[in-house]
Amino acid sequence: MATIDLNGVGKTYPGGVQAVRGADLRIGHGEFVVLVGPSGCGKSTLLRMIAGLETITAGTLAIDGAVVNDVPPQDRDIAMVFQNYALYPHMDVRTNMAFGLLRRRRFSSRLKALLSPAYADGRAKERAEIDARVLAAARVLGIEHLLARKPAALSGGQRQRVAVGRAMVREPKVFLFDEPLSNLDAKLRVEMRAELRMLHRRLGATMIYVTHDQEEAMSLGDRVVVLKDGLIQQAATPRQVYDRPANRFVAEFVGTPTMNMVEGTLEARGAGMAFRGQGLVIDGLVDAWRKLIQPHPRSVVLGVRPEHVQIGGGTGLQATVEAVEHYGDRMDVQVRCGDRSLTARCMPQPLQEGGVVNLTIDLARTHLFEPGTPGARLGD
Amino acid sequence: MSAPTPPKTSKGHSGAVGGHVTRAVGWAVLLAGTVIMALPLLWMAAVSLLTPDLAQAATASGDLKRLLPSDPQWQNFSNALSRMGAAREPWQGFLDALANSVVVTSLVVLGTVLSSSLVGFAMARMRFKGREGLFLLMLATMMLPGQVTMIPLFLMFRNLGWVDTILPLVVPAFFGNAFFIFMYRQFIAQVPEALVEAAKVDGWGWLGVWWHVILPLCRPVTAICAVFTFIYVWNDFMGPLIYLQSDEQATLAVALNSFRNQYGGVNNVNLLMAASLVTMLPCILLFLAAQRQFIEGLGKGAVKG
Repeated sequence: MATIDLNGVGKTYPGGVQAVRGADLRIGHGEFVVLVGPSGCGKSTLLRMIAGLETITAGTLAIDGAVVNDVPPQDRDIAMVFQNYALYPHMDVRTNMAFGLLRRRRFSSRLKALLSPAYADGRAKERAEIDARVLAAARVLGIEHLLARKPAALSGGQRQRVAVGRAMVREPKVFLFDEPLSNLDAKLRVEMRAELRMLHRRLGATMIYVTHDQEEAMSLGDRVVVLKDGLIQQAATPRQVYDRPANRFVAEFVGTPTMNMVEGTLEARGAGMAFRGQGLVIDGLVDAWRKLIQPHPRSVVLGVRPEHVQIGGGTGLQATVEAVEHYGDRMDVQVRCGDRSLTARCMPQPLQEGGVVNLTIDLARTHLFEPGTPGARLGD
Repeated sequence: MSAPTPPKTSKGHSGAVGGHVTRAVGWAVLLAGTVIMALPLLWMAAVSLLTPDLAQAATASGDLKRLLPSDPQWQNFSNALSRMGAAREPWQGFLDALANSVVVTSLVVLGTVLSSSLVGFAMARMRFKGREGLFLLMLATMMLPGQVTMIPLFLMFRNLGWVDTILPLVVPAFFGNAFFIFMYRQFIAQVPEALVEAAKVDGWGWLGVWWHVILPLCRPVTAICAVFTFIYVWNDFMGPLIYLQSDEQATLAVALNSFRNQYGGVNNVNLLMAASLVTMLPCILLFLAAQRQFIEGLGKGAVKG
């Protein structure tokens, strides 16, 4: 286990492209942190900088309090699982898993073993320890029957397990995962996700996991770090990221279907608050936003998640059904309300495309953001 | 109910016949090429088994029918090899030359494979200033004919006191060969970067990554490098002739030349062919042994390179 401290860490490539900008993050002992964001957001670069595979051009990176900016990967005591698993194709599974331990042997010289019986004895004991560790890790992952096979003879899921096993036997300070599930089919991905979660609980190790799949991020992480254009947008628990997104980007990135966003103005309306925009008028907004009221109506973006928009009820909002997607236990309904299309997630019910329905918005669960980019959260 | 099969059209039939004809012509061309390429070898093997009179007659007439040995003279081989070289003891000259050739060739093959793969790995994977410039400079050395550097190199090795030792033949091999460095670099560039990174994260340094990961993955290129180098060095005549001056140091190629000078007349052409056949036998055997890797490597070099 280890702590990792990123202080203003940045990466600028020779052409001037800034992949990561001023990343500040503290990862605690045994924490499972997921870096998530769209392609090109800098999440993999950040992970590779922690691994030592990319140079750091700004700021400092410390593992267990020691700055490791200039420490090569082999001396950082980290293990990494790569997206394509990076198993050595010419080695069998046993050697693949033992490869990192073979480097760390105290009795590595064959020549000395030939010349000194004591050395040979130590070498044999060491080799037996390595084999035992490999076998123990293989048992945990259920791959002990595959130890003699070459990677080419394994399925995707088995390769993924071997890659995890290779990291496990090392017992490193930090585990790094670079989109390790992205090459698996959907069913296996869900299974492996659960296994990784259990593995983290069992090992209690510090783990950093990169993915572009927000669902994976939410289900795995103790903490989720959302990145965009090389900047950390929010680092918080999955619940906080979902319920209190730091800005409009996070709000739209996290959650499926994506959060409904309506641009408009916030204004006092009698004793209460109202939002008006894109043909929509919503009265009775939460009182906490009263402090946002200025002498003139204030431009804002109102966000509401699809599950907080319900079909039926009587709030006076009328909408036309545009499309219906059935998922068995629930349905997503695309409705046109004012000039804007909104998505509602609700229980299955008979709805006709083109039909007119009433909408109920859970006003207590709405969000307000600044207009434009990045669209900071308002009202907190 | 099965779907009705479409009737065979005359066009389809003629197309199949055309395919057979094309294939037959292709085979015929390949067969002719094989015969043309194999004929000198077969001629050499046949003459090596004839009596001196028959060998002389067959060589003078050019009649291929006379080449078929009715009574193979297997003793031609022992006669030829026992007389090879200037040593007083029979067989000694051949055995000395064989040992010298084995030592020089083995060391050069080892040196070329190790140094070329290491430099190729560095050129493909390590990022350093001036890498491209160095690579181009190295490629430029391939354009220089060997004759241009022959005299400067001889003077340099003479000043080092290396003349009449195997060092001038062996040591340069440990500094890489531009062509094979190029081949290794192109091949290693195709190896996924993640493998190198995984090995580094596993704790290995550059040399460990090269030895444990890259070199085993480069087997096809190594096979090409080893076979080409072996054939070149085993058959090399000019290098040993320039640097190895005493008879005890001579390699098989030089010893064979001395043998030709001594027994090269038409009277002993059967012995000369026997000695030549034995000299080239290791190359043929090596090629047959490494054939699969070799051809695979050539294909990879062509496609991925």
